[in-house]
Amino acid sequence: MAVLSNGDRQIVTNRLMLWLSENHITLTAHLKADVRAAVDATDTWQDDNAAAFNNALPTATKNNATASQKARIFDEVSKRRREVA
Amino acid sequence: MASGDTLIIFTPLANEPPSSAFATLDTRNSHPVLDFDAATDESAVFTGVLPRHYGGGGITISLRWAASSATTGDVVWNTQIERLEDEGTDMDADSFAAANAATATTAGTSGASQYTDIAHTSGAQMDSVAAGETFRLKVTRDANNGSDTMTGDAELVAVEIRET
Repeated sequence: MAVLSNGDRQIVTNRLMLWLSENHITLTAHLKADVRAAVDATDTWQDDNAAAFNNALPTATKNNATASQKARIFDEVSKRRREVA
Repeated sequence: MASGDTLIIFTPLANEPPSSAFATLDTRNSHPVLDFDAATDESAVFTGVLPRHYGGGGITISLRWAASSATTGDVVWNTQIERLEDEGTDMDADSFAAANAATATTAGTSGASQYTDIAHTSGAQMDSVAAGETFRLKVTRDANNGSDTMTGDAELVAVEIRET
């Protein structure tokens, strides 16, 4: 997978700001540009480390799951880690 | 009427939302508020009658607002007036005067009100509305302005119009 487009990164940024607003969650010392920079950095990191993630998967998954399926596995683990944190 | 005296007050429940890109009615601890998005320009519209004791000195629109979640950053507010005089402006189309703007820094506590004043001089900036005439006030968060840096919604709590 390539990095997200500028528009897609902005969609993620807007979703995060909506989540903050709806739940009255303060992200201390963050302006709009800081939220966007965090999204950019996260997307870039995921792209830079895509090969390492793929290599960390067990052989059956690495050889048979699609890129989308692997991304879903990543999403679900991240989601649960956030829920139990 | 003396300078600084209150002419009219609007609360979120008086909002007449435009057909699109409108601020959303919400509550915060039972306080009605209008949510203005951080990414898209949104507006609220209020209809009033300029009191007959208005002395002609221009008006100052005081926006009382809070951040939904942020404790830092700036919001760019625009205010516009539309005159609806006797046998004059056709309501079938909007005819707001050009916007006056203010850039305001949010309060350091989310939920604490910030008072932001925008002055409109008598005449064109007020669309020439006179004492006793009907008018509309349009309040917009200019969210896509580069100077609007605050994350999350801005919540409008009340609007006071006073004589400048």
